[in-house]
Amino acid sequence: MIWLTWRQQRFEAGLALAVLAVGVAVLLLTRQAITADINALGIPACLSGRGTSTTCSSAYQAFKDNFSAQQTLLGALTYLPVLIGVVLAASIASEMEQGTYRLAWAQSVTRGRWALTRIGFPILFGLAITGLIAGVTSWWMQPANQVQGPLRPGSFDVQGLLPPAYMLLAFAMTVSGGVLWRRTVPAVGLGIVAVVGIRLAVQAWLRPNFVTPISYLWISGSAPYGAQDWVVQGGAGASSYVYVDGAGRQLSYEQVHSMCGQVVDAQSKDAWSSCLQAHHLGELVKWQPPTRFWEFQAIESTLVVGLALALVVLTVWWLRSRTV
Amino acid sequence: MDPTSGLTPYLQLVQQITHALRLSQLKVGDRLPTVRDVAAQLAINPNTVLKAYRHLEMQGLLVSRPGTGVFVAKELRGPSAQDQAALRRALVRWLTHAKDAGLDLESVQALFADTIRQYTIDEAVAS
Amino acid sequence: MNVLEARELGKRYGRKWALKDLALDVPGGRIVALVGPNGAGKTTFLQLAMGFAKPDAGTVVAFGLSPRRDAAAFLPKVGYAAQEPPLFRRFSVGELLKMGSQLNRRWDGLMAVRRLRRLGIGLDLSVASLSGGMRAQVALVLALAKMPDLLLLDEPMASLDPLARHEFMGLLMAASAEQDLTVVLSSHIIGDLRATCDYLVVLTRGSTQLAGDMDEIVGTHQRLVGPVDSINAIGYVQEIVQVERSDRQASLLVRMRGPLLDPRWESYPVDLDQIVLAYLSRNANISSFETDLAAEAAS
Repeated sequence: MIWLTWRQQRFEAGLALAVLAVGVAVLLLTRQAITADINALGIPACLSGRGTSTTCSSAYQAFKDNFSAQQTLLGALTYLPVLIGVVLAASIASEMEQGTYRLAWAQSVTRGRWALTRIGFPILFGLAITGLIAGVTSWWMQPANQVQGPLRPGSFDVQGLLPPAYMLLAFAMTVSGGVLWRRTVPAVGLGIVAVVGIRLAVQAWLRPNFVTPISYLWISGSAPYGAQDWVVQGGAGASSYVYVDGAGRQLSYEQVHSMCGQVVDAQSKDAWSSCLQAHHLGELVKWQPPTRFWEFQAIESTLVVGLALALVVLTVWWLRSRTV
Repeated sequence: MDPTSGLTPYLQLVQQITHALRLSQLKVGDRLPTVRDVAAQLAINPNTVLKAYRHLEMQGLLVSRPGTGVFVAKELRGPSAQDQAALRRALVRWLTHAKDAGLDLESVQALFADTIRQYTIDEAVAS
Repeated sequence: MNVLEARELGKRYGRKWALKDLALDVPGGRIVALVGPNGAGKTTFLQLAMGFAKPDAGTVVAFGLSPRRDAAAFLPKVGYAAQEPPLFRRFSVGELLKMGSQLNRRWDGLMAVRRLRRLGIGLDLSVASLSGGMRAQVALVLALAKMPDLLLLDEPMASLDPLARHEFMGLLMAASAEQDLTVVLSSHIIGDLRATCDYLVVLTRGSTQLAGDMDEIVGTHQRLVGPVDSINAIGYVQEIVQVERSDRQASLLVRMRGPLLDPRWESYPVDLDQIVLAYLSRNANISSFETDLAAEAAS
């Protein structure tokens, strides 16, 4: 049975191994450049507390700009595990579509054992591959983590437990689609769309609140959060701001603008702060500290793996009881 | 195998082997192909072959030696030319009788086929 | 001793019952022809017998084992092959054999290789390159190699030309001579079955019409031709299956239950095709036949 599973999937397995090899090579080659960049910008001094805030913030900014060139690589690393999961499962979906599972069922192995091996081994293989990818990627991300923290979307997704977890989810989605509908292409489509959708939804709505973020009413002065914190609400470069008055009530941006609008037009930051102070207003800023990295990883992977396992159990049950 | 002869497959096979013996295509001491080979070649049930071999064994035409196979035991002489001629004349006389009695050609063939069939079955039962 | 038994077996697809109240016994050591039109339930029955599907009513057991509940004990005893068999297209024939040797407890690989060699099918050929006939033969060799006691074949020759069918049957007959085997072979092509099968089951619309020893069935069915007005009289002694009538003459397909004494009637042998056809159309005709009998009785 093990030989059969391997023989049926050797093409996909080979593909996954090739991708792994290429990915690891690229990561190994590029990490040196990242470390060099950090040193050139003088960031280690900033991290150990020396250096002024202005030079440090511009150094951080410069690093962020340089590092964004790695965006495509990060994007690939984010979706690679999903693709691996889908590809490994597509073989099973194709087997359901072509009906060759009946050949195995006409031998002496029971449906339950067949289902567990046929599904279990690709899972183990996928976990091993994505585990390796996650390991190497985490090591590659360390320098960047020190500068901009590991919780940022994009960084968080490629490290720790998430790559194997999302591989498992993609696999489970594709396999259950394939077993229930017995069509490969729709199952693969479903797998990709569903996992991407779930990841984006979790990232946007659930992840920021896994643990209650640290909040701060910020009126003036230097930002209360550091470069490594993940700002989930407000702060510099945010897409929306929340203002709160002295009684703790939230104001809309229009209301604030009506009070201090002319100052904004003048584009003076200090004037803006004094205007806010005069009206006893403050900006509500929330963030997550980098120390919560593993906690967040655990929560998200439990969610994702839980869903994936539920689908796998459903699939195995369906194969045992309902498939003809 | 002829599905319209009204004979069971095993009797047809008996006929074919007997015919081969009569024409001296099979001689005394010749080994017949195994049940398996006949069944495979003709695509017929091996039990049919087995029954046919056994039938001919009981008639004394074949003998089976366990471990080695089935062999021809006795020769069958076909009719001589004079016998054949006499039989043909008798047949023509019979046909004339039948035509006088009012049978058309189809009825004659049907009667003939049915009689042969019954005769062969009775023979098989008797042996 | 019955190798396969079905009792009140039923299977439903949506609201339609593909099999209803099916009773069937397959005696051991026979080669059973399962015959019926498309949609009669042959495939459904074989799928239930193999455990691919679950019955909605009744039971089917082989060797006293349920195909699903006793799967671990059942599967080694039963082999299966279907029309256009699902073989792994990218595998070689040799790899298919390897799969079989790994997934089965009993496996006669040498016999399988010998058979394939005799058929001229190379072990390194890929399945995708095989013709339909060769694929059917490979599927049969695979099913036989696990040394089953019962072999279920679902229209395995349906898409084969006559030569390929002959070769397939030859292989099956040879195997039947070499192995202890009971075979259930479903087909809607009847011509192949007379010489090969020794037991017949006719299935229409999900239930059994006729079941019995092949020679006995063919031997006891006759075509009787005679005057229309004495159909009734014949019906008292023989079992009438089908009636065809013109003005004066009637042609009956009957199962002989007693001797034919009426000289006005002539009897002809019938072949398997005609017998099966008569039973297949019997259901459709039965109500009109009964009214005919009543009309005769009144006159």
